Amino acid sequence: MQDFFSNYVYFKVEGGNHTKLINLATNNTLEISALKATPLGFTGKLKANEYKTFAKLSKKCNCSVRIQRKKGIYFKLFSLRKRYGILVGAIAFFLLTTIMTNIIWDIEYYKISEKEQVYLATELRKVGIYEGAYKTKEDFIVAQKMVQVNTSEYAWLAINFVHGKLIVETELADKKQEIIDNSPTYIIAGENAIIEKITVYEGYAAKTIGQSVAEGELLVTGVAEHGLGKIAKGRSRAEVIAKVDKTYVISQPLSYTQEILTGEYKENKTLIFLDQEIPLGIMVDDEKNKTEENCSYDPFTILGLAMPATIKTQKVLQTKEIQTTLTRAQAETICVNLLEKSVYQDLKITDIITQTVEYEEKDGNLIATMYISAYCDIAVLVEQ
Amino acid sequence: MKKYKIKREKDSTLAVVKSVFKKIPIESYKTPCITIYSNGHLQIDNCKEILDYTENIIKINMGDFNVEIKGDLLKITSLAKGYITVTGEIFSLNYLYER
Repeated sequence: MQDFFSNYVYFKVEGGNHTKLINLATNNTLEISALKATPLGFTGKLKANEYKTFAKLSKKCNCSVRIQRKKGIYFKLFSLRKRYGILVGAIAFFLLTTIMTNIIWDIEYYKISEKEQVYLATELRKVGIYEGAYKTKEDFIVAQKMVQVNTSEYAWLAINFVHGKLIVETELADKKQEIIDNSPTYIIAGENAIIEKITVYEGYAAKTIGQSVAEGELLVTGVAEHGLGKIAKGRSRAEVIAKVDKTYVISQPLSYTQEILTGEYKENKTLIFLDQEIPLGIMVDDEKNKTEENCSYDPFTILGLAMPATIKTQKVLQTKEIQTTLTRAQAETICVNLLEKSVYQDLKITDIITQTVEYEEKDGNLIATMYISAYCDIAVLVEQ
Repeated sequence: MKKYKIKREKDSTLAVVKSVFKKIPIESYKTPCITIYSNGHLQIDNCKEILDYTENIIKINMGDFNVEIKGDLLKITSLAKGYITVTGEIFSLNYLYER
């Protein structure tokens, strides 16, 4: 071992007074060994750091000294002095072997359908479990509990981390039985209207046919007082059909600029490793069209071998601006469609009595006003 | 037969102990010394200089006299100030006195 770490040079001395050189070297405490006489001088072995002194002494004796061979770890490493890749590789290897015990290299789903796998992968990613993440034992316990809380479908969920491989096991829970709620409820009016028909299935009616009600007024109650002074509490369920008169106004510009999707997209690829996102290639910078829904996550593999990293692919949808000019008829159609959409979102219409639309052009906009008179179910259930 | 006892002078215990711890004179370390080993090694201590060195002859100045080692494929395996180790096929070792 000592010989491996020592650095020696094998030299050759020719010409001059070589015996004088030997004596001078010994007088200068140079440790020469393996001296072998040659017809013109001698060969020998010397410590690398003493060679300079030896070469100086050789000049005094008119001898020529040549190095024949170099031996030692210094000379071995010297030839590799500009091979930075080896050094980086050695450091990377050391880091990987020391911290790899806590890096997730691969996630295996044990006896889980592909659909469930995708769902579980998303849930695990939300709690920071993915290929390339650095996690401790405590992190896995926390992640396991968080996933179980977030997903109520599973009876149990096990996350086992063995030698860089994460094994996920789950068991689907039985369907939960619905709990029947018996707390009292009320039905109130959702609109200002005149009651046309009231059908009470549960509870007690507070209004009758022909009465006009304001928004929020009580229609059916679940709480009633008996003659003996006792209060009966129960659920309310009723259908209240009432005549509603309402006006809706909408404004539609006749000329406007809109951004439409071209149908093309560009991809942004990033490598996720140890909670760091490393961009791969040139990134498309379009903040508007960057959404998390367009992201897909895949484990990073080289020739099928799992690597401790995740590749995130984000699709950036391409758009272009176009100038649109509508004719009066087109604008009217759009207005009617939008008005009807908002009417049906707002009211539970059972029958339309009258419906008229008026149009007015103002400052390049078409203003549409819809007057609607209809029979609607205005019952709104309210918990106590 | 009458037995004669040889009388020996008995050293005192103190003298024996003293002799054990007696300082070796420094001159004894500086005395030229040649040790011959059976495996063909020759060790020379306290020599002055090498006078000649070839494959067949090594001539060494020991101070008061010179030593000439004759042989074949003679090799100086280690060399330090006043210390030489020679290996090879040694045929003869001659003492040369300059008178």
